[in-house]
Amino acid sequence: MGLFDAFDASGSGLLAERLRMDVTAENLANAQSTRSANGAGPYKRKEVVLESAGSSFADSLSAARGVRVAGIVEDPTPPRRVYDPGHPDADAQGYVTMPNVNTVTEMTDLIGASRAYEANVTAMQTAKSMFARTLDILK
Amino acid sequence: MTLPIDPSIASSASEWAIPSLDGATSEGAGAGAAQGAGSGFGSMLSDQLGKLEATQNEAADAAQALATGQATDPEAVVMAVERARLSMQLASTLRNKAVEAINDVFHTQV
Repeated sequence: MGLFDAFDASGSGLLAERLRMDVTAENLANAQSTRSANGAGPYKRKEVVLESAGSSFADSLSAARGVRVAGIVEDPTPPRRVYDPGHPDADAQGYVTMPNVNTVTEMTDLIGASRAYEANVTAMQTAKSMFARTLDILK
Repeated sequence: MTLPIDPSIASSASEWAIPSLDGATSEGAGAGAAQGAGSGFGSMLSDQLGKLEATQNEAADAAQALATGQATDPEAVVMAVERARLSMQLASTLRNKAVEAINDVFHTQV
């Protein structure tokens, strides 16, 4: 248990939440992308999977463990089909396969990531002020 | 006849003995480092000062990386700076306390 354990944990939280925000921004930016760079149909919504850091037994005994990114996975929900015969990517029936991105879901995810980031900042500030209070004992 | 309390205990008992201050006599980080890795207060002090300097350098490097646009995550920069600030606060508080203590000794009425 180190002096700055809480700090490191909050710091990893900040990093994780910022990655969540990055991925959500990517989803929002690609909400209308009907093509992928590798030619595999429309864009697929991505999601960040987070896990608790430190898997060894010794790690589980020490006080504050941070979070780490387990991976970025693609959302398996089927894509939306929109009738738009004039679209260059429309099929024979005139339907375009749009990404499985729901703008409203992405916006709530964005708010969630922002609030979680704020929570981590607050935790870090509290750890900081606790440390400063401890030093005040000596004054 | 023996005395109820042997007066020689005052000079022979271990709790009255003045501990050796070998390590503490080396003032300053340079002198402490020159003396080698003895396990005294002085070497501990110079160790900690070395660590303090390392955190300060880390924070300076991080801030420079941010200013030159090389830093990719601002959180790491903020954390490095904050860690350096808190370490410096701890060191300066301990130093102030030590100075206060030595002043108390100097101001002892004889």
